[in-house]
Amino acid sequence: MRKFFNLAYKNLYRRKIRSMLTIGGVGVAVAVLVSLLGFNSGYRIALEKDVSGMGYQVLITAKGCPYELATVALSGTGALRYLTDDTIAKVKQDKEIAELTPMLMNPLIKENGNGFYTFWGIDKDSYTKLRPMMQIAKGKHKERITDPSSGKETEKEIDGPMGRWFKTREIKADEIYLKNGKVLKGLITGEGKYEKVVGTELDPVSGDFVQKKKMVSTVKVMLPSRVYNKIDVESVKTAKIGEELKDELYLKDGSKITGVILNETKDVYNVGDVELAYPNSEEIDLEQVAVEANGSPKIIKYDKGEEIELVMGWEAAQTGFVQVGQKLAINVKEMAREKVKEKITDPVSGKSKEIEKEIEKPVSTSYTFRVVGILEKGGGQDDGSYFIQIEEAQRIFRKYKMLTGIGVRLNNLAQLPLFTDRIYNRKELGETQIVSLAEVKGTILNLVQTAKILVMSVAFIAILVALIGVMNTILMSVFERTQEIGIMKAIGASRMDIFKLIWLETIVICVFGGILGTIIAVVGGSFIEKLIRAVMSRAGYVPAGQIINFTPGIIIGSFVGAIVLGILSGIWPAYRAAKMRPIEAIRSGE
Amino acid sequence: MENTQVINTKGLKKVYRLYAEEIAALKGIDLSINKGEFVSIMGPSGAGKTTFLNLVGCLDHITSGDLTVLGKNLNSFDDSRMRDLRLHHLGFVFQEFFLVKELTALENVELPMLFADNKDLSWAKHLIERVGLGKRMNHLPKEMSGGEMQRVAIARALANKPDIVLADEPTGNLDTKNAQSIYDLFRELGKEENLTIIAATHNVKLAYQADRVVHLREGRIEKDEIVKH
Ligand SMILES: Nc1ncnc2c1ncn2[C@@H]1O[C@H](COP(=O)(O)OP(=O)(O)OP(=O)(O)O)[C@@H](O)[C@H]1O
Ligand SMILES: [Mg+2]
Repeated sequence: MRKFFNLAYKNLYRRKIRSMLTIGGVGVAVAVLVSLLGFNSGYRIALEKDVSGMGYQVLITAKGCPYELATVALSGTGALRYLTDDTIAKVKQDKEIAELTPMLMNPLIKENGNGFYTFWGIDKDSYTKLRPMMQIAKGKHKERITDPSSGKETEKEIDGPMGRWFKTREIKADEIYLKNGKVLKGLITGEGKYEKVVGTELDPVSGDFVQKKKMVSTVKVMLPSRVYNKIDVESVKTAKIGEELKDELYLKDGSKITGVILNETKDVYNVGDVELAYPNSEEIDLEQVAVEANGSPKIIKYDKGEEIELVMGWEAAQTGFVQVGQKLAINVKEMAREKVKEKITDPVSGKSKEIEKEIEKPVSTSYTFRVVGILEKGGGQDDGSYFIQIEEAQRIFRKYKMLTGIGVRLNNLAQLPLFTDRIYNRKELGETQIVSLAEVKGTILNLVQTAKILVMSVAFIAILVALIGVMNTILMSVFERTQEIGIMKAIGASRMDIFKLIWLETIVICVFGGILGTIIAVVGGSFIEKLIRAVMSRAGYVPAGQIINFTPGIIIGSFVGAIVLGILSGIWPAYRAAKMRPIEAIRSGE
Repeated sequence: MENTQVINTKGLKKVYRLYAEEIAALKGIDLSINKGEFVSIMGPSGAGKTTFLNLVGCLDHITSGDLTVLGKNLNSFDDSRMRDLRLHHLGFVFQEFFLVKELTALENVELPMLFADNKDLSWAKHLIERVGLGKRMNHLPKEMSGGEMQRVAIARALANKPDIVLADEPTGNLDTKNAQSIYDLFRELGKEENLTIIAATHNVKLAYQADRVVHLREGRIEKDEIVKH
């Protein structure tokens, strides 16, 4: 076959433009194929890296809590559900747990409405243990240094780590001392005033009984509390003396609840500051609160308004031109509850009366942080995220004792089904959901699979078009060279010789096409990567790592594929050429 | 050796079928040609010269009669055996030269050797030099004159050391001077390589430079004369 190579090459060379176009066609087809295969392998690797990059294999969330940021973005913040932080201690008891880390994700709507700031409240020590890749970035950068005495800020160029992780601070619950000696621990979120009905009075003018009201000042506090039906309660022991007085409820099922009875109605006790409880906002009547010597209510608010240390993802810092050491104000829109009075007309009596009702409305808020560190670029969601200490997050975002998830590493991942069963069976954990990242990966891969089938059909069509293109080119040159082929047969070329010669031409086209296609794919890889990334990010999740990965196998495979393409598309024209009878071929030239 | 018959025909007929029409191009040719003979075929247009050369050259099948080439009866030959005979024992020279356009002079000469799987290509070079084109070896056909192209064609015809060279109006596209030099070359090479050469021509002056002139008319031999030099 080698003996004809020269001839085949020269034939193609003579029809330069046509050959080039055909090679280009094959090149595009091969490039598409190489990219697709590269994507296929790269995506899997990137996804795997992303999943293992999570550090944890299992995520425990409240039932129905979206575990994926993209889903949060779609469904809005309202869909977030929370675990309470006592879940940590309870889950920790399971023998299969190797490592766990609590997390509170809190998306904040940007003030301009364009997307979210994703804040993560994390426990730095356990978090970095599970996710060792979360490292402070290094390199030449500028930092803002504040002089402690004068408070003046200067900029300094530093070659080294970009700050540090935030320092873990002890954050105490706020305390409210009641007159009865009991102490409530929670998170004070504000003050309030409301009209309390203190009795009824006969209105001498109208002759109706009207409610006697009094304005009451309250302190708003988030307390872990729970409501118990009186019929379930066997007995109550109310504490009397001492500083941290706790009431005790003995339930009919034998369990004992320790806490502070916040409220008692005809049917229920509302017990605050208890284990396994969901934080509720309570309004504590200031009249119940003990008074200090100076007359002010005895309330200790531990939040001294200290600066909160913030560590930023690489991209968040880059896009915001944020420097280590600077103060950062984050302006957001938040939904706030507000009590409003509304006049309604009573349909029966026809009298108008005022009712109080709570509405939600967006208000602009600002959070201020001190940027203490910038994380290394990881390529994933983390790059655009903001990290603060979890207790701080719970405090400032008013998610007292709440978590969005617990990341878990098991001693043995194979025990996952048993672990899941055990957790689901522990009713005291409340409604939890265990998400295995392997499962998530599977779901995503399935999604991608569907997309891939579509793209593969495009590739198939490209290859088909290339095949027809090659066949057409060669067939045309065969017809053009009828006489030449006839002469070659006349001077002794066998059918096989002619077949090989023509076949070789198509193979040469396809080999060059293959080389071109591979070059296009490899050189244009980053462009194609960007393209796929852009398309995929619309659909939701894109892995952080390189999603197109060219292995030698893929390149060799596509090359072989191109040659096979040549072999296939060459058969028919070569057969046509070989079949020509020399006598007719010669005569056609006369 | 002198009197070995290389070609022998008895009642050789060729009928072309064109739709319903039958055209008898050869109507019974009895002819034998000896090894080393240089034979001119003459005759008016349509006399059957090309038809005869094609049959002897194993390019076409005969209709009836007998055709023996180099001791082999072609009546029973299939395409592949005819091709073997062409490749190893026959050389062709055409009026239009028919060189492969994208190959150089030398490569054109080497081509039949490639088809014959002949590894030693030095013979091609020798032939090119022999036909006086040593300096034009690497030229493409389009860079050569008609006379030069026909010399290359002759060298190509000799590449696989054939016994018989068939030339169909080899000088038809050449001027008198070039035509003469081609005939001179035929004569010389014929002697050197002990070739049997059969050349169809309209040119009387050239025809009579052969050893023998066979006149065809309407598919029959009209006259067969030996030329005295
Ligand atoms: N393939 C063919 N089909 C039909 N008729 C043919 C075919 N080839 C040749 N003929 C006819 O056969 C006869 C002999 O043709 P041939 O080509 O052998 O003549 P020739 O002597 O070579 O003529 P010229 O000097 O013009 O080349 C002519 O009548 C021609 O029309
Ligand atoms: Mg003729």
